[in-house]
Amino acid sequence: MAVPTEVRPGSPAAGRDDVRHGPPVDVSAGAADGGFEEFARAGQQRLYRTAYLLCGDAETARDLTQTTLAKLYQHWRRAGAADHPHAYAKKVLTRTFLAERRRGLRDLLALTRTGGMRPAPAADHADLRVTLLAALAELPPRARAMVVLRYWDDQSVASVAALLRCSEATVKSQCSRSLARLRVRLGDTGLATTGS
Amino acid sequence: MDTDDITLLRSTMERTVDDLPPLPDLAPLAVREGRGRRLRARIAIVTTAFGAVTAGALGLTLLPGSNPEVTLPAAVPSSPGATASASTGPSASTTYAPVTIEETPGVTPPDNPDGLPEAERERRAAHQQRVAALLDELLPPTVTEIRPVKDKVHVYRIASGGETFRMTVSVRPSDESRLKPCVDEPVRGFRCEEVTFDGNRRAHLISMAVNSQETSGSYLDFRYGDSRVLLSVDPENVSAPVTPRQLLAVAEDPRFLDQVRYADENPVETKAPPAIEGG
Repeated sequence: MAVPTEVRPGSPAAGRDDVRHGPPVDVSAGAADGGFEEFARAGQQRLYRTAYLLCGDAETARDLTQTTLAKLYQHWRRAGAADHPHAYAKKVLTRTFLAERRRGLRDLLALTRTGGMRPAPAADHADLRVTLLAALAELPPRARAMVVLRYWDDQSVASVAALLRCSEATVKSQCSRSLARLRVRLGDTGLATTGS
Repeated sequence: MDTDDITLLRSTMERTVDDLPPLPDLAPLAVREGRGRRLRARIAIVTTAFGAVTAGALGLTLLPGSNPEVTLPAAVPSSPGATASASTGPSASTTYAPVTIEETPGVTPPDNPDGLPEAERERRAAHQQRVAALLDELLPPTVTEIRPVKDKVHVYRIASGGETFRMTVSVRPSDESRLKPCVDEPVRGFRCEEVTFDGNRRAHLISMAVNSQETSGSYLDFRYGDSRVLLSVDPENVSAPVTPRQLLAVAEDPRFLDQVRYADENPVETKAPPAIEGG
């Protein structure tokens, strides 16, 4: 998979990512490998969370996170010098997720771990997690990525469109359709009215 | 969905990911995997620029064996059982179910044909799964699927261009400590090239016509410890989708060699019978 070559300065994703998930990491020393491990340690958990929403499976999400970090290391000169390395990382993560979905292997591995793409039923408060993940899993991978980037990562329509290499109109229509499906799914279980 | 719905969705997402346990430190593993990616990318660039023959010579100077850092233990990133602390072979606690298929589609093989204890079956399956995960990463992207074959620890089915092929990755205890002579017979469709990797480890890259003169298989043969290591891709209706040199690229990866070392020290195959000398 090709690694993105640019991150748009001041992209909403980059800015909000830091606001939502923690302080920015200083990667200014990253001329070569410098700063990578600090960056990885500081950012792996937030990447993992996004990966989890994309994959719906903790083990697969961990693998995806590690692959993303490895790709960042491979191109660290460029990634570390980006204005917003976390946004760059999120872009690599999303594109890796979609590429792997196309190849189908992660699905295969996830199937063996969970017995299916949908998470196994759980009890008590875990119902919420299970229902959301199941609802996300019903979306096609690109639509799922749009929802996660748009509403979890708080990225703008333009940012999501650039990341997924599609038009803004596509992002809007896909998100609208996906949200309608999610509303039905979550509404069916009453979560939309009980969540707080 | 209105703003309230979106707020609730975000809240639900937050609560969902809040249940996740903290990750182990992935940075060292990512650095190792990233180094391998860099190395392969460089080799690919060299190959493109100077052609296969020149690249062969240059590539050998870039092999992992010449880099002291690659002797670090490494984990298999896409293996379901791998953890940050499990740096080499499968741990005794690895219990995940491997992705397996039957060797012949539609024919259910006998369960546990070798009569192995369950723990041993799991250990072998874990080894096979780790190798499959490495193959997934290290084989060229034209190979789109890799599946271990159930109860055949050295056999995999790979897919490329709509065809499926039989691949083997065998680490088998052997009394043969040396490679046989590398005989090159292009007239008979048999090409053998001797190379060194991993420091000064000798290997044979073999391309051989199988079934017909038009379809060739790819093979890599070397010794490791007390084992003979053989990587092969047999042809089907078309030639193998992987070249011997691409098999070498798999073997060069330090993580793959770690897995070979594990299998050499903890055999997953039975010892090869002594070779019968030709008359």
